Amino acid sequence: MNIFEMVIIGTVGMLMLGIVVVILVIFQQKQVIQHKLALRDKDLELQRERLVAVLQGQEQERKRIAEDLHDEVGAQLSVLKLNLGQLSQHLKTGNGEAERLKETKEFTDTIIQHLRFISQSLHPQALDNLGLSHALDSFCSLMNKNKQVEIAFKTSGNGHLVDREKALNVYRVVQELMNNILKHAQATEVLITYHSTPSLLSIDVEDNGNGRLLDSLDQSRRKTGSLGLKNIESRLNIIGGSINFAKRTPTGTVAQIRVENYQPAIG
Amino acid sequence: MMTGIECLLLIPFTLHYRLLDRTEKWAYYYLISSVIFAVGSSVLGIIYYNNLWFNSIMYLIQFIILSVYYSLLIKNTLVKKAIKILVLPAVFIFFLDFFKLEGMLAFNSIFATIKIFLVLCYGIIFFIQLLFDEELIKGSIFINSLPNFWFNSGLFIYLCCAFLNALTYNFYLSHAATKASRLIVLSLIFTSGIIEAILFYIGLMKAKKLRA
Repeated sequence: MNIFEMVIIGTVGMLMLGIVVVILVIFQQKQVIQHKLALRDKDLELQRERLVAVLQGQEQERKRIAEDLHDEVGAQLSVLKLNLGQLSQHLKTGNGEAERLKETKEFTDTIIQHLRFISQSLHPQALDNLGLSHALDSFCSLMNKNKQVEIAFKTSGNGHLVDREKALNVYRVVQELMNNILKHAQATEVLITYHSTPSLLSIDVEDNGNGRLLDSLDQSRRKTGSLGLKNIESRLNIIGGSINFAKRTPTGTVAQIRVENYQPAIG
Repeated sequence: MMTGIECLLLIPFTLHYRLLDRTEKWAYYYLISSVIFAVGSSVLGIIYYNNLWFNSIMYLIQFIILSVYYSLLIKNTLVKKAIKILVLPAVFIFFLDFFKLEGMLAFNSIFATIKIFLVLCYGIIFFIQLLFDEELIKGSIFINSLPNFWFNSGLFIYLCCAFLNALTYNFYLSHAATKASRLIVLSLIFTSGIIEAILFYIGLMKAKKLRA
C-alpha cells in the first residue's frame, strides 16, 4: 500500500468517524434525556401514589369522625331532646321555666342540625347510598339551609354510575369551589349543573358574583398558603379530570369540571 | 460545484440573518468567509496560477472566526480563555509558516493542520458540553433541535475529512500523485463539504423553528 492509498483510506476513515461521532452524540443525549424522563415519570407516579394514600387516609378519618358525630353525639343529643320534651310535660310551675325549657329544646334542635351539617360535610352518606348526583343535590339543599346564597342544582343525562373514588373526589372539588364562592365571590346565586354521557361527566358551577373566583383561589394560595386550588387540581389530576374557569356573562364565573371514563370498572 | 452550493446556502442565511443569535451569526460569518475563500481562490488560480498565499490567509481568517464562534459557544470559562489565548500562538505559527517555514507560495501545511486540529478539539469539547448539559437534560431539550449542534456537526465532519488532506497536501504537490488518487481525495472533501452545507441548512431551519 503506497502513501496515496493510505491517505485515501485515512480520509474515508476520518469522514466515517466524523459522521459516527455526530450520530453517537445525538443518540447518547437522546438516551440520557429519555432515562431522565423515565425517572421523572417514576417520581411523579410515586408522588401521585403518596397523594392518593394521604387523601384516602384523610377520607377515612373524616368518615370515622362523621360516623362518631352522627352515631354517638347525635344520638345523645336526640336523647337529650327527648328528655327535655318529657320534662316539659312534668313541669307545672309557671315561673318562666317552661319557656326556658322550650328555648333549650330549640337550641338542642339547632345543635342537632349543625351536627348533621358537619357530619354531612365530613362524609356525605348520600354519596355511598345514592350516588354523586343525589349527593350533590343533597349538598345543595343542606347549604341552602345554612347560607344566604341560593344554590340550585340541575341534572341531565340518564344517571350513569360514577366510580366511588372519582365521585368522592368530584364531590370534594365541588365542596371546595362552593366554600370559595361563599368566601370570595360575593355571589347571591349559584347553579350547579350535572350532566353525564357514557364517556364524559360534566359539572358546571356557575355563580353570579364578582368574577374573581379564580383570582381569589390563586391569591389565597399565595397569601395564606391555602391549598384550595392546589387541592382541586390534585384531586382532579388523580382521577384524570380537568377544571376550567371562564367568565360568566353578565357577571360571575363558571367552573367547568370534566372527568372522562368516570364509570366504575367492570369485573 | 462546491462554490455554487456555498453561494446558494448564503441566500437563506442572509434572508434569515435576524433569526440568528449572537453565536450563530459567527457561523454565518464563517459561511461568508468560505464563499470568499472559494471564489477568491478560483479567480486567483485562473489569474496567477498560484492561489496558495490566499488560501493561507483565508485559513487564518477562518480560524479567528471559528475561535470567536467556539469561545461564545463553550460555557467552561477555562476553555473559553484557552480558546482566546490559543489564537496568539496560532497566529505566530501562521506568520512563521507563511514567511519562513513553507513560504507564501507553498501550501502552509503546518498551520492548516494545527488550525484543523484545534477546531476539531473545540468541536469535540462542544459535543461533550452538549452531552452533559444539565439545562438541556432538565428541560428535556434534544440537541438535534439546537442550530449550533448542526453547525458544529457540519464543521466537524468537514474538518475530519480535511485533516489528512491538510497534513499531506504538500507531499501531494511535491510527489507526483496519480490523478485518480488526487481526484478521490478531492471528491471525498467535496462530499464532506456538501454534508457540511446540508447540516448548516438544517441548523438554519432549526433556528427558524425556534424563533419564528
